[in-house]
Amino acid sequence: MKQSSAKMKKRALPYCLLLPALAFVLVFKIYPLIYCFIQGFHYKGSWSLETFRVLFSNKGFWHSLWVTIKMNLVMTPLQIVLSFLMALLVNQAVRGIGAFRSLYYLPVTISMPVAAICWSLMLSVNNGLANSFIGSWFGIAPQGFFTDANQALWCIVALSTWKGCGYWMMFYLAGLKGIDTSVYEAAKIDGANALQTLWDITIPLVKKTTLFVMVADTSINILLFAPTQLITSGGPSDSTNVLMYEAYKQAFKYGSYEKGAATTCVLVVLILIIVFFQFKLTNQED
Amino acid sequence: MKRFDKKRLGKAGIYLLLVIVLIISLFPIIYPLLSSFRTDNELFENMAPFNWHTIVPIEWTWENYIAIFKEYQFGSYLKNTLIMIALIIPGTIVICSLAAFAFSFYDFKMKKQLFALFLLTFMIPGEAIALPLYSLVNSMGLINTYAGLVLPALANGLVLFLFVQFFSDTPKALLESVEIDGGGWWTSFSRIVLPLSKPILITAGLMVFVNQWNDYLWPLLAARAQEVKVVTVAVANFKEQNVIHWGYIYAASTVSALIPIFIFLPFQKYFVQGITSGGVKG
Amino acid sequence: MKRQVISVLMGVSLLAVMVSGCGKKGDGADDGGSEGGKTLKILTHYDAAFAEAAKKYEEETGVKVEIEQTAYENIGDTLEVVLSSQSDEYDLIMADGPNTSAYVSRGYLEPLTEYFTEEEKESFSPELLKQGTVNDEFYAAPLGDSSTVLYYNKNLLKQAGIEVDWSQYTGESRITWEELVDLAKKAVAELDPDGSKGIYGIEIGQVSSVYQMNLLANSMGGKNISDDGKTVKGVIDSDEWKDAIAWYQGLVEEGVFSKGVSGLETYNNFYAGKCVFEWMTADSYTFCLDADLTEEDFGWTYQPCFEGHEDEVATGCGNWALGVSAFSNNKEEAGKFVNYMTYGEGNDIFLPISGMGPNTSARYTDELTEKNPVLEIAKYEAENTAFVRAVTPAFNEYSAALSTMWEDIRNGADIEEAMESTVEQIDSALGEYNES
Repeated sequence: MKQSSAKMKKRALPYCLLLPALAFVLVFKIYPLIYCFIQGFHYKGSWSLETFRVLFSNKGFWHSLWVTIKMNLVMTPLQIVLSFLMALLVNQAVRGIGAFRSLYYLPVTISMPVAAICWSLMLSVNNGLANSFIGSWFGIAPQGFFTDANQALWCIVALSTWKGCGYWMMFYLAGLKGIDTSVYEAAKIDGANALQTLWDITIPLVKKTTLFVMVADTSINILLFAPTQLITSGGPSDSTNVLMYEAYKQAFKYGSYEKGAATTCVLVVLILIIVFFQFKLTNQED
Repeated sequence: MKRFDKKRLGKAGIYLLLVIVLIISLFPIIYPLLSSFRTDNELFENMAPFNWHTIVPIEWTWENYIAIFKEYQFGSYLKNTLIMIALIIPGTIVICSLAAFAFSFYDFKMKKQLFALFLLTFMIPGEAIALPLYSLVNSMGLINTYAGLVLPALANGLVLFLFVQFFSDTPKALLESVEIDGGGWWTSFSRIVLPLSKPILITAGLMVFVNQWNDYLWPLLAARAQEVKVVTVAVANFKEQNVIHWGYIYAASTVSALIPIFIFLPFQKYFVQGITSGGVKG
Repeated sequence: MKRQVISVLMGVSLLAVMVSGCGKKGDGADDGGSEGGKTLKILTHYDAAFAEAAKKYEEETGVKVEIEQTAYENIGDTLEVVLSSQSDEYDLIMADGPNTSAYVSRGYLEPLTEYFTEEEKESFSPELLKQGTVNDEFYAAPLGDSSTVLYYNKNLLKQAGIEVDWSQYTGESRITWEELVDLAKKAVAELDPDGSKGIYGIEIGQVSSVYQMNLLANSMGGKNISDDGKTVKGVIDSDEWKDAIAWYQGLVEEGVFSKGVSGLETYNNFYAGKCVFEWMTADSYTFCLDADLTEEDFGWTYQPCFEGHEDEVATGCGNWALGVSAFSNNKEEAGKFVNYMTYGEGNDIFLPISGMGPNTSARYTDELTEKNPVLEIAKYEAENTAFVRAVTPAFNEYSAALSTMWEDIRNGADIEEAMESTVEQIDSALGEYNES
């Protein structure tokens, strides 16, 4: 009798420990998300797929979806590669490396509105630092940057990469620190050069980190719209009009919450699909 | 001798690379930093043609800093922000570490599904759920309170994930020996797991700090009253309908970028250790 | 084992106490002042002006008005969230004039009919009354008006050796855009021949905004929306619009108008002597003084007209308006306060602090025009040339699409293409409102 009650308590224990976290997640995260999905399946107050029909029949939606995908196809791999390289660099045992690490992390601590101001000033068409610099030093004609339909999206990619890499660098650095140094010594004895070591030893050993960074970075980037909102408002010629910005405008500007919710549903499903494939892909290699 | 030179060359190369990346990292920030020490008119007068004074002030002035603290009560917004963060950090750590403890050291039904649920929260866009969340928090009567700012931030999928990663390296045998000695979970948690967790506590704390420090939309909606308004929301006040006080924005940005950096610098060693899953071994 | 469960519960409740204890601190303010008199609440970026009027109002009526300050750029988003969750937090809603229609269609505003007599309503400038009226019902009372005026930099003109007799221009006989462009070109050729100083001929204060840019097309005879408010097809792709757009785009390419400079930066450029002319609003006078300019440095004249369209000149108008929230628990008190702030004495306190132009010609006092002499032009324009923005519940969608179009035009987009996609976007938004 006593035994079974003790066992039951033991069985209940992990749930008790989870309870606070679970309660907060359910109330403040899952409930609003479910509400959002429910709204997406409403049209003018009643259950319907009409909102999605309206959404999918809009050319602008497909364009925004394409902009989102295009941006992420470049930005996420770029961030992963750059942050990995940065991590390799700050993993070197030289004097003062701690200060470099912290300073590389500085862009992460800058808030997006501030970062947006810095970058739009730097890349301003007229008196911007970048144009003044390339003009007076290299004689290159002023570039449009955020005002050029062919460049604006890539300027946003540059800004977000600049701001994001320090963050992911830290995770990679941790991954690199976790590698047993004896592995490298063994490789050295075998006569492997630096590139071979990197390719055959380091990269496979930080696979777990890569998976984490990939998944987390993808989810963040697909939902990223602050630079668009703050700098370009989706322009020029809709070239930076990412889907999340569309959802934001629907909900916050146009008062059509159902459409905004439906757009968000599409985004969340998109993330889930991509993350699913990322898991599949990395597991297959094993 | 030759070997020594090669080594030195390698070191120089590393430093060169470090400095190049440093310049790229810092350049966009240096301009607003320097601009925070000059008046708006001087700033715009020297914008073109591009010269030394496009970036570096002619007359250095603290005017902007004095204005934001005196006229705009920037200090009280800083205080509010720090109070908010000071509540969120321990709350998040307590809640997430307990949950992570359960995930790491116990087997129970639905473990996988529950863990996935927590990870899912990482992918939920704050902007997308802002409206229903607002209705919810409003119906709880928590708008314009610290509770309204703090409660929704407590369950953090990323922090939980980091804790689980970290705990997974703690040998289970240690905990079993506690149990054999007749100690309960609290003994294991407080005597064995927590003392080993200093790096992850710092990491989690710093991550929460940076995230909350830069959070904008939720504080904007949930904390509009003067008594709870935070820095990011207050900075928008420098952008008026017909005027932007550029100098004020730069000064405020400089202050709000320096604070996390000063907090981050002394802890960066632990920060890396905290994310490193193997950090416990040492 | 019990102890373990208890300690978890204790941990959680400790946290809850800690957190809710902090919550109480913030709550206190809400309940304050509820003894006897009621408390009304408003979200505004004109906090100083409202505070002053509210103080007087409380003395007179015992009704307290609590002012919550927010930044100008955040008002719209915040109100949308608060009102869409049907929160009773704000009793008074400060809406940008053209948003009235959208707020009414979403059920956010209460009619003001009870709180204004016909006579009081009629006292407002007709275009402001039009802006606050939806389906013949009055919903939003104007706090003030605005107007568009041309400013010039006296120092730069002098340096360029250009002399203009500004006194010759009146409301009936203005400088034309064509003449102005010539002056601007001449000045820039003299001041900054190689473009290295970054001096512009003409800047537009609210560049790429519907408020100011549409006036170019309006001044050529173009309308903003069809008369029934159901379409922009045949309106914003009309010949008048095409002419205005082509004229503007051509001058951006010639460098007379700037590119890539945001609206608010253009103000700074004017203060810093980086543009010869700037087409701004009447209240810009105050901002010039704030930026340490004096009347020695700058002057102003009536907004230009286009050659051959002298009698069609259209100037900007409209400003923030005040209404009563449909979810308020104190509608009657709120309605009375709206009257006080827009028709009553409160408006006299509000205007000089906020810098807005008055909402009726009767309110242009000597005191106001002494403080801001540009208001004399504003008065003439309000009575004669003011052109109201499109009245439609889809104004936000309309405004977003058209701002994008103006910005794209500025950046050199193909005119026909830009127009076509804008018409399509706006009409699809209008279509959704037409359905319901």
